[in-house]
Formats: sequence, C-alpha cells, structure tokens
Amino acid sequence: MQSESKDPAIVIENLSVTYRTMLEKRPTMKSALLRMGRSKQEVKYIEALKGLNLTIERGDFLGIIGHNGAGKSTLLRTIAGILPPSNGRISVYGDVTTLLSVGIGFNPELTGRENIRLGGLANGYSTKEIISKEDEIAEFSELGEFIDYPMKTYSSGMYSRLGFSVVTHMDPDILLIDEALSAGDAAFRQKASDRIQLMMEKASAILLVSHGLKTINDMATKCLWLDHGQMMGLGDCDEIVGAYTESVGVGAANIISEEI
Amino acid sequence: MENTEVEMDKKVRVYDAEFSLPDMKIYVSETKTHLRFALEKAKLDLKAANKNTWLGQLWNVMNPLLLSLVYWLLLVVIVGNGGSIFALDGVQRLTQIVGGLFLYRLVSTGLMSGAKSIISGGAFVLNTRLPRLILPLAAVISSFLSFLPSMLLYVLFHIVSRNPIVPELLWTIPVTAILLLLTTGLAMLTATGNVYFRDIASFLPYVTRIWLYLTPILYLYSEMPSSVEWMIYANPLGAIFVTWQQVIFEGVTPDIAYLLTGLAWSIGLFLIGFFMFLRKERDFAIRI
Repeated sequence: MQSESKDPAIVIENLSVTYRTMLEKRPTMKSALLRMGRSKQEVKYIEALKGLNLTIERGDFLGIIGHNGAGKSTLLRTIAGILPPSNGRISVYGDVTTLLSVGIGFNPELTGRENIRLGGLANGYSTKEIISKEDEIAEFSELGEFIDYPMKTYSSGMYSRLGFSVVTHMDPDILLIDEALSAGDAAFRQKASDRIQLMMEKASAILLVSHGLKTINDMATKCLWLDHGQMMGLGDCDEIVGAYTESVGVGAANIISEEI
Repeated sequence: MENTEVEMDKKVRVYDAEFSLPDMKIYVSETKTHLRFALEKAKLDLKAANKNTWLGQLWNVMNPLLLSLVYWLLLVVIVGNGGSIFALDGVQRLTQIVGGLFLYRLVSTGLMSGAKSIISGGAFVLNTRLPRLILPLAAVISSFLSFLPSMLLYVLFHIVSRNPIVPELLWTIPVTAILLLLTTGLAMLTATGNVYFRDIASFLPYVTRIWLYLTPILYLYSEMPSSVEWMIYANPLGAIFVTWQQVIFEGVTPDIAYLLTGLAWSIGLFLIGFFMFLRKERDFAIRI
C-alpha cells in the first residue's frame, strides 16, 4: 500500500443526489395523459445524499457503513459516473472498476465463460486481454466444468463467486465494492478477502460497502458512516464502527461478530 | 456532466450537476472501444434467444421466410392477385415478398430490440460505466447479423425466379447501409422514449405492422396508384424500399431522387436519435 503518498484519488465537494421517483412504478403514457388535465405532479423526491464533502487519498481503503438506504450504494454509483450528481461535484483521478451488485449483467442463458468475456468487454478490455485472463478467472471461481454450462444451472453461490472473480481480475486504479464479499462459503470468503488485499497493493484506492462490520474493521484503513444521506462520522474504524453500533442500539459484540 | 482532462499524466473525470453535451471526441472514442462488446453481445444474444429450440439459429431465417409464405398465400391464393402459384409470375411474387420482408425485418427487429435495449440492459446501466449508446447499437448489430444469412437464402429465390443478375446488384450494399443508419437512429430514439414511457415497446409491434403495409414491400412501387406517390417521399422507409426494388427486381441503378430522399431521411433520423439519446442518457440510471 502506498500510504506515504497523499495525492487525492477522489474529491467530493458538496455532493447531493436526488432521485425523482414517479409514484407509479412503471411510467406509462396513460398515466402521463391522465395527469395532463390536472396540475398534480405525482413525483416524489428522495434525497439519497445531502451535501457530502469528502476526500479520499491514494492508498486509502475506505469502509462505508450505515443502515439500509443510507446512500452507500448511491455514493459508489455517483463516484463511478453512473448516477449524475444533482448538486456539487466529484473529481476522480484514475480508472474506476465497480463491483456493485455481484453478477452484473450476466445472461443466464449463456455459459460462465461467455459471461466472463462480456463482463470484461463491458469494462473496456480488449478481447486479447480477456482471453489471457479467462482461465485464471475460471480457476479462481472454482466452478470446474460448470464454467462451460449455462449460468441458469448455477447455484446462487456459484453465481456470485463468478461475479466476484470477474471484477477482481481487472486492474483498476480505484475499486468500488458493494456487498460483494458475501460470495460463497467460508473458504471462498477467506480467499476473496485475500484477493482484495492483493488488489489493494495495485489499486490506489478501494471503497468497500458492507454490513459486515468485522470485515470493515479488519480491512479498511478509514471508515465513513452514512445516515440518511449525511455523514455521521469519518476516521478511525474502531471509533466509527463503535459509534455506529452504539447508535443502532444492538450490543457491539453482537454486531461485530456477525459475519457478512 | 463529465469532463476528462489529462493532468500530470493522470486521467481526471469530473462529474457535476451541470448538463452539457459530452465532448464528442471522447464520447465517440469511448463508444468505439466498446464496439467489440456490442458485437459480442449481439452474437451471444442471438445465440441465447434460440438456444432451446431444435432449429436454433436457423429460426433467424425461418421467421421471415414463414412470414413471407403467409403474406404470399394471402395475396396469391386468397386475394387472387399476383399470378398463379405454380407459374413463374407466382414465384416472382413470392421472391418479391421475401426480398422485401427480409430487408424490412432488419428495421423492425432493430427497432423493437433497440426500444427494449436500455431497460433490458438495466444491469449494465446501473453497474458499469459502459457507454449507454452501446446498448441500442448492439441491438441493431444483432438485427444485422440475422439479416446477413437471410440474404443468402434470398439469392436462391432470386435465381429460381430468374431475376436479373447484373453488376447493378452491388447497389444493395449502399442501400442497406442507408437503411442501417436509419434503423440506428430509430433504435436510439425508441430506446430513449421507452425509458420514459414503457408503453412504447408494447405499441411498436403495431407500428411496425402498419408501417410494413404503407411501404412498397408486399406490393411493387410501380403498382402504387399515382395519387399516393407522395407517400413514398413522406414515409422515411418509402424511398429506400423503392431503390431496393429497383436494384434487386429490375437490376438497374436506383433513381437518384429516391436514393437522396432515403439518405436525407436516414441522416435526419440518425441525428435526431443521436442527440435525443445524448441529451437524456444521463437520466437513464435514475429512471430504470
């Protein structure tokens, strides 16, 4: 880890993200026509992030904690350039790979190997680069001959193992991970966490979202606690995780030992 | 929304709340580096779609062929228009329907899968930085990939019905290219629209059916009464299909007026689709 260098990797200034959600689940023409006569706007605004200021330096491993809907995933998606900020700005220095929900865009009709190829190409790799990594990814996922079977035949553990393997074999500067370490059984989890450590040596910054407070405490060098889109604390992990568990009101020992 | 600057040999991406059209040079080059993905996705989508059928990929050719037979039976047997089933004129009518419908399928499937591309590619939109434009492009490529083998089949019909085999047939290439441009424009347009109004994908089958009847495909452009000739120009597909008929059935160089009309519609719809898409794609991740 190059913790001596203090260049910024990500600079977040006054960031707000607001979702504009229609009350109908599926926006249809009928509902738009029906609304035309009335002035009533059936739109609900959800402020997922409110005025966040944060600098992540090179070498940081930032663990992000908070309750469901605190804005953790929104923050990662905004840094990845997937969601546009409604206010403020983000500067990202370097290439970003996202390990958001595991198994992004996998087509269940296709084989594991075909999905590896699609996943790599989607992240901007050339066919040559992917073919050179294909066997390594297949081996890491421990799928055996299943790698050439359609993914609809996979168990959910196999599915997420492959997803994890694909993304952790890319070489990003900045890695964004969302609840991915829960892939597979205990043995694979150990291997996954080793893999993340290895990537940390190459990557300049890692952001990890997890409800597994023990993992966060063990791996992260810095912690961020989000609550309803606002920063509740940033700094030493022991301190932040402690404050968070206290606020949730569950015995700290209880939460810490809960595995991801 | 996004500016990429090269600063100290490091790439810096800046995201802010201001809407601006992206830097065209960067946008086009990012789309280009992902074209490989579009091609692979198009191929695999075709493969996945027919995986559980006995004929497999052959269905990409069987579908338009069977549809042609249905229309042919309707015209020749039921309406009794267009010759006898067992005579050359009947076969020629079938060839005409096959040739037109195969090309029309390029538009209709491109349009239909293009419309659904953003919603069905939601996982990519929500979880990767993949340029969104790649998704409707993959839909059009997929449609083109199933069009190519159907043209091989058409060649058989062409020979059996003794249609002219002349160098002018090479005009099929620019005519197809013009149609592809138009299809891409429409796919970008419907993909954008469908994110806001999911009804569009449900409407489209009817739109494409009506559009088929308004375009010289089941009938020859020369059979159209002169009172409705304006429809050839008013219909974005009209002039292109006239040039197609002139090339493959008459074996002549297409009329320049029709060619330019088709090209104008294509360029126009492509630009409208492209800028609509660019203007709205920032919202896709929020709306899905």
